[in-house]
Amino acid sequence: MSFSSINFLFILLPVTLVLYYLVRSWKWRNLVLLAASLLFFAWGDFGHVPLLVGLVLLNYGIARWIGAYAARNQPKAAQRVMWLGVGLNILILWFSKYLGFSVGIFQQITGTQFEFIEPKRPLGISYFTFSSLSYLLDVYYGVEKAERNLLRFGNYIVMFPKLLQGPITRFGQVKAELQTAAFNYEEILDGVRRFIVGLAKKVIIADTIAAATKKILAVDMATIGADVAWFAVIAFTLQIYFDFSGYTDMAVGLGKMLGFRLPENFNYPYISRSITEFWRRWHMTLTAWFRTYLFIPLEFARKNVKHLRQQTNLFIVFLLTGLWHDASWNFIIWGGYFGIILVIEASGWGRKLKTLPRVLQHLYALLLIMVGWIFFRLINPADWGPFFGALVGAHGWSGVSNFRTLNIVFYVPLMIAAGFLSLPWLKQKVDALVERSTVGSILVDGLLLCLFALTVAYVLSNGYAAFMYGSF
Amino acid sequence: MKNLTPRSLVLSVFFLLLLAVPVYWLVIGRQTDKKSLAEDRRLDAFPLLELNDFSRALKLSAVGNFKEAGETFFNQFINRSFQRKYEGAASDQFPLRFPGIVTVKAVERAQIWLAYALLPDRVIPTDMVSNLYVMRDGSMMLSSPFPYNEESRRLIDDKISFYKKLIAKNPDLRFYAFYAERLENAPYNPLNNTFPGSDGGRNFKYFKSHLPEGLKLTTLAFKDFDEYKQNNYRSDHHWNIYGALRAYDIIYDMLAEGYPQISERLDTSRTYTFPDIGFSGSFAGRTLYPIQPDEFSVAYVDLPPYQVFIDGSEVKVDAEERYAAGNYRRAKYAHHYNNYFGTGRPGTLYEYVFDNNSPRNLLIIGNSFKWPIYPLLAYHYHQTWTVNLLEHENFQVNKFLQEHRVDDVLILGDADAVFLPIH
Repeated sequence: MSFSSINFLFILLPVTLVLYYLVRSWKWRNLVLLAASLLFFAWGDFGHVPLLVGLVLLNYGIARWIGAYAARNQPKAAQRVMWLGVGLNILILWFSKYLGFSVGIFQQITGTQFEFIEPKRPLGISYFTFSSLSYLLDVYYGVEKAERNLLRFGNYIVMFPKLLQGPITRFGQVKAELQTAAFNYEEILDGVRRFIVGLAKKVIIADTIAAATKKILAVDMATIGADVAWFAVIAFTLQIYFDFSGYTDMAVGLGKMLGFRLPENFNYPYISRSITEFWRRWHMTLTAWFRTYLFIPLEFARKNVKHLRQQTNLFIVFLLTGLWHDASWNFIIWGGYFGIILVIEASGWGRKLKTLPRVLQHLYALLLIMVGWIFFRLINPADWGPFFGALVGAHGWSGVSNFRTLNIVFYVPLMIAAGFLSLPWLKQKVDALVERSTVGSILVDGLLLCLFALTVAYVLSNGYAAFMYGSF
Repeated sequence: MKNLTPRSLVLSVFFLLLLAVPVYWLVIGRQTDKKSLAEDRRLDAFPLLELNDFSRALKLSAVGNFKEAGETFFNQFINRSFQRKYEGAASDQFPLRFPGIVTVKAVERAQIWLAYALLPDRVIPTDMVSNLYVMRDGSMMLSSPFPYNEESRRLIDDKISFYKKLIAKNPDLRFYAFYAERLENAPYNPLNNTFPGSDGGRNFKYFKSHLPEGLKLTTLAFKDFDEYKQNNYRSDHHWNIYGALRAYDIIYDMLAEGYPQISERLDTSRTYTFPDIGFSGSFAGRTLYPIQPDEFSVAYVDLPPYQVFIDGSEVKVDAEERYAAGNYRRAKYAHHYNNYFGTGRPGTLYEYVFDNNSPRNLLIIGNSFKWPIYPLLAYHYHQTWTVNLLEHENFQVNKFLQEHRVDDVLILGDADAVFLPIH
C-alpha cells in the first residue's frame, strides 16, 4: 500500500488513528499498530507476509540469545550468535534481492547457460533487514538490551510509517515511545503538517516530473540534443529528491501522528558545496547506518594499514551503498563514482574546494550530483555513451526528439518551482511567519488543508503511482 | 485536550476529511451502476469477498491442499487482483471525484498557459497527460500527427497483404475501401511542422500506390484545414453529419459503378440541429478541456422499415425517435455521436435487413465512422452486416464470407480501419 493511495489515506490511516487513540494502554496500541502494519504490508505484498513475520521472530530470538550469553558473561558465544544472526539476515537479503544478479555473474564468468527464475523481491527488504542488523549489533555491543516484549520488537521492525522506505531507524530511537501511551495533540498536528507537505511533494511534484523523465528516456538517445538531455538530468535530479524526501516527510509525519520521532533523512542536499556535504544531507539514515556499522568497524579492523586506509574504507562503503540500492551494475558504479569523489575530497581536494568562491562550490557539487543521477537512472550501461554524448552536444543542441515532439514544454514552470522549493528559503520564511503571527499560522494551516485537498485530487486524477524507492 | 490553539482547530479539519470519506462509502453502500460520462465507462465498485470461499480455503489449507486453497481464495491477494479492484473502486467512488479531477486539469492548463505564454505556437497541449492538442483560438482539438516511417510502411504492407489474400480467396466478390481522412494523417495538420517525420498524407499515398488489384478505393479528403473543420467535430475524433453525408455520396457513387441496379440515391438534404445539445465529444471528455461544445446535427432521411440484429438477435433501434421526442441526456459529455448513431456494443456483429428487392448483400468492415451512414448504405442492399475487426478479434472474415451470401465488401473508416492497424 502506498501512502499516496486512496486506500491508505481514507481507510487504513483513519481507522488506525481512531483505534490507536481509543485504546489507552501501550500494549493495546502496539497491537493496533502491528495489525495495521501487517495489513499495510500484506496489501502490497501478501505472499511475503510469512517472510516478514519469520524475520521478526528470528531476530527477536537471536537477540534474546545474544542477550542471554552476554548476561552470562560469555562474549565469545554471544559473538558467534551475533554472526549467525547477521549471516542469516544477509543470506535472506541476498537470496531475495541479489540471487539473480549473482547467478548472472556466475553464468558470465563460467560461460554456462541455465534457466533461472528469479524469486519475487519482498517489498522493503533492504530497509527491514538493515533495521534488524542494527538491532542485533546494538544488542551485541551492549548499546541496547534485547527486547523481551515481542509486540514491541515486532513494531520496531514492521511499523508501517518506516517499513517500506525507511528512514532506517535504530531501536533506541523508538524504544521509549513503544512503551508509552501518550497523547499530544499538538505533536499529532505537527505530524499532519509534515505528512501533507510530503504527500504534495510526492504526488504533485515528483510524479508529475517523473512523466517528463519517462518520456525523454523512452526515445532513442541518439535522437535527443543537448537541450533535452540536460532537461532530463535536471528533471530526474528534482524528481528523485521530491519523491524520496516526500516519502520521508510522510513517514516522519505519520510517525509523529502515532507518537514516534523518526529520524530525519534529508537536509536540503542540493545546497551542498561538496560531495562530502551532500552525503551528510542525502539519505542520512542510510549514511549513518553504513558509518556506524561498516565504516567505523572497518577503520578499527584495518587500523594497522598505514596508507590510504580511510580512502579505501570510504570506497568500499560507497560501493556497498550502491549495491544496497539494487542488484545492478549501474548502482554499483553509481556508488563507486561517489566513492572515488569522496576519496579525492578526503585526500586534500576538499580543503582546496573550500577556498573557491561559494557559487563555484555549489556548481561543482550540483554538477557531480546530477552526473551521478545519470548512472542511477540509466540502468543499461549501453545507454550511457549516447546519453553523455547528447549532454555534450554530440547530436547537436536540439535533436529530432525535441521539447515539442516529446511534449515536455509544460513541465518547465513546475520544475522552476521545484528547484526553488528544494532550497530552504521558503520553509525558513514560513516558519518565521508561523512563529510571529497567529493569523499567519492559521493561514498556513488553511493553505495546507487546501494543498491536501488538491493533492488528493491529483491522486484521483493520476491514479496509483509507485514510489521510486519502493523496490530498493 | 489541553492548550488547543485556534491554529490546531483549523488543522483538525484534516481528521474530519479523513473520517468523512469512509463514512460516505458506508452510507452510500456498494454502488455497482455508477457511470462516468466524460470517461464513457462504468465506475468500479468495491469488490466483495465471499466468506464461504475463505472458510473453504482454510479447510483446504488445513489438509495441505494449498494449491486449491490458493485458487479458491488466497491467490487474489497474492496476485493483487483484489487489491487492484479495491484501489480502483476507492478512487472511482470517491466523493466529489469529478470536480477534483476538473480542478487538477485546470491547474495543468495554468501550467501549460504559463509555459507557452511567450512562445509563438498556434497549437498547445490540452493537458499534461493525454497528448492531445488544441488550437490556441479554441477552434479545434487534435491529436499529434501519425508518423510516416519504415514501421508505418511495414504496417501498411501487412494490411495490403491481408487484402490480397482476402481478394484471392473470394474472387467472385467486389471489394471496396473508403478512407475518411483524419487530421493526424492529413497534410494540413498544423502540427506537421512541429513533428518531423509526421504523416502529412504520405501513408495514404503509399497505400494507394501499392493498392491491391481488385480493391476499389475512394476517399473523403479535404483541401485544407478550414474544410476539415467544417466536416468534423472540434471536440471529438469523428466526422460530423456533413462529413458523413459527403462520405455517403462518394461511397454511393463507388458502389453504383459495380452495382447498376442500385436503388436511387437517398435524399439527405433535410438536416436538423438540436438546439439544446452542446456536444462535448471524446477529445473534450478525455482532457476536460473547456472547449466550446459542438453543434449536434443529424439528417432526417426517409427510410422504409427495417430490422436490426445484433449477433443474430433482433433489437429495436429507436434513437431517432427518442431524440425527436426530446428523450436524451442534456448532461455535458453525454456521447451523442454514439447514443444517436451507434447502437454501441463493441465486439458484435450487426445486421440490417431491408425488405426490398435488392439482389445483393453487403459486408461493411469498419470502425465507428460507419455509424451515421450505415443505415443509408444498408438501404441499397437486402442484408448488410457490419463488424469492427479491431473490436471483434475472433471474427474470421473468410469463414463469414463462405457461410453468408455476400456480394460486396466495403472497408470503411479512418486510417486505422483502412490501411493501418490500431496504433
